Amino acid sequence: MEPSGLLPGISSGAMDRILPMHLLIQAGGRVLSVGPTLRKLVTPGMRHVADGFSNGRPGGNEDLVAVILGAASDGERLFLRMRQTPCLNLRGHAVPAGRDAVLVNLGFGIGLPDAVRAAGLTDRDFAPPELAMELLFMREAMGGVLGELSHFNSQLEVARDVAEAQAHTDPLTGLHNRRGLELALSEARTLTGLRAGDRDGFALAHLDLDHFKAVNDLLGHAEGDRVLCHVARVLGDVIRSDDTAARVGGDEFVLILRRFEDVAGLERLARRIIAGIESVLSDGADGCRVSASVGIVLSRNYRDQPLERMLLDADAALYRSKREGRGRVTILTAPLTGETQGL
Amino acid sequence: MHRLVVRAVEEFLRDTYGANLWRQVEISCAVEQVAAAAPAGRLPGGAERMIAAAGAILEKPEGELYEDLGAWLARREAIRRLLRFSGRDFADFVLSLEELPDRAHFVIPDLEMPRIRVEREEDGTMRLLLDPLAPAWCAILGGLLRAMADDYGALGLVAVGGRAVQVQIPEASFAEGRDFHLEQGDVPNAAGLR
Repeated sequence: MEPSGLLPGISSGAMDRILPMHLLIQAGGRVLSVGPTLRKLVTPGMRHVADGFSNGRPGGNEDLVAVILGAASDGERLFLRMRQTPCLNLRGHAVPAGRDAVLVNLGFGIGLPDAVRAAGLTDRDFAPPELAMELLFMREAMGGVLGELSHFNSQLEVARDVAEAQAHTDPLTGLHNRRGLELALSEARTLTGLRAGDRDGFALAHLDLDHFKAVNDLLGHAEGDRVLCHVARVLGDVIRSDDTAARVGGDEFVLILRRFEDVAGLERLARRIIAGIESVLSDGADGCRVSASVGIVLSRNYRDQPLERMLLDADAALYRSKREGRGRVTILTAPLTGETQGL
Repeated sequence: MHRLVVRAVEEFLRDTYGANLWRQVEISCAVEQVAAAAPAGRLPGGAERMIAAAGAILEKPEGELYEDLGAWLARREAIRRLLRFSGRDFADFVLSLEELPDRAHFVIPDLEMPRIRVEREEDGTMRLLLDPLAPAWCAILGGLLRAMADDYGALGLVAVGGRAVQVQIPEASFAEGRDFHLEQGDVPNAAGLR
């Protein structure tokens, strides 16, 4: 039996088997013995412990030998970072061995998978009482199960997102539907209500096609659908990215125009929309022409009033446009009162 | 964005500020999603978008919300326990934070948590540096550390800077910390054996 030198009665072969991650050093730091698993990770023939390791605890004593001796005398945990593979910060403890030596036993901690990868470790490199294999098994098993679950979850999520987007979209035109409009309206209102400045106000425009019924009756529903899609394109072209355009009924549309309360500018915008819509059936050969009437209200006039009131007034403004001859724009600069409502 | 993170932010906002606030955040995010209009579109930015929306509604800086989120996380019993596995006392916990991303990735491989480097100065001040720089993670960590100092009963002074979190521990045992045993109390194991 080959004696291990400093540990009487235990051969170095036995030391390697029972403690494959040990490090036996002299009090001066000279390396007497390195366990076989650890040997796979340090430079061969390492002479001094500081050649292979540094103190793994930040900002502590830089003198590694002093740190190890300290740990051997006070029984505290020891952290040794591998110079060759700095991502490995081994943890362990140390005990005095013989007169002039210290025996250190180390483990990989949570860095185990990195160590296995770095040194190509196998089952044989770990002592049977160690939980290394169990940890690796758990990691892989959990990874597999979690991976499956998260794959399944993301499929569900995509399906849910699609359903949600569809629930807020008008299938014919791709604009928002009434539900989408309600959402956008509450958000616009929330932001306006929370910040007092006029900057966050918005305009609500209600638009209804004129003479649309005639198109459906005389030219058929396919042509009617084409007109509706044309209107959607006209609206899409004039709104900005945080505005909202919705189709809320057969030939009724609503626009939310954020940070836009300039009456003259709104009037110009509405005329542009009407002109764009009128261009769809220019020939007029069948006696069909389409136009639109618009009613607009401004959020700054409805600060203390419910949203429904804003929608009702936009609707009333729209019907005022219709009554005054169609193809017109009405912008209300004050909420309608009981007397003015009927106008 | 990991679904767990999104869920945590949702729970945090609902738990801290109530169902009403959460409803407003949902509206704000849903509108953005509908506006994005891509059929396969997820919430743009997920959790970040929620925090941004909540910050706008509450008129609270996002950094503060992330710190509150960190503290809230550390107060969930299940998470508090997992964190307590990392250190014997508060100083040990802070020094061991280097291992936290590895531990977290062990369970959630696609979490994308940045690496943490701990530096200790001569006066004992510890500085946590994140790689890559991640202000949101920094703020979350700051809030989490404050809550964990209380949990360990230590007096910990935590300062969140843009790129780092600084921790000082004037008193390691300032107050009585909360109990922690390796084995979870009153939960029988799967086999029903005790």
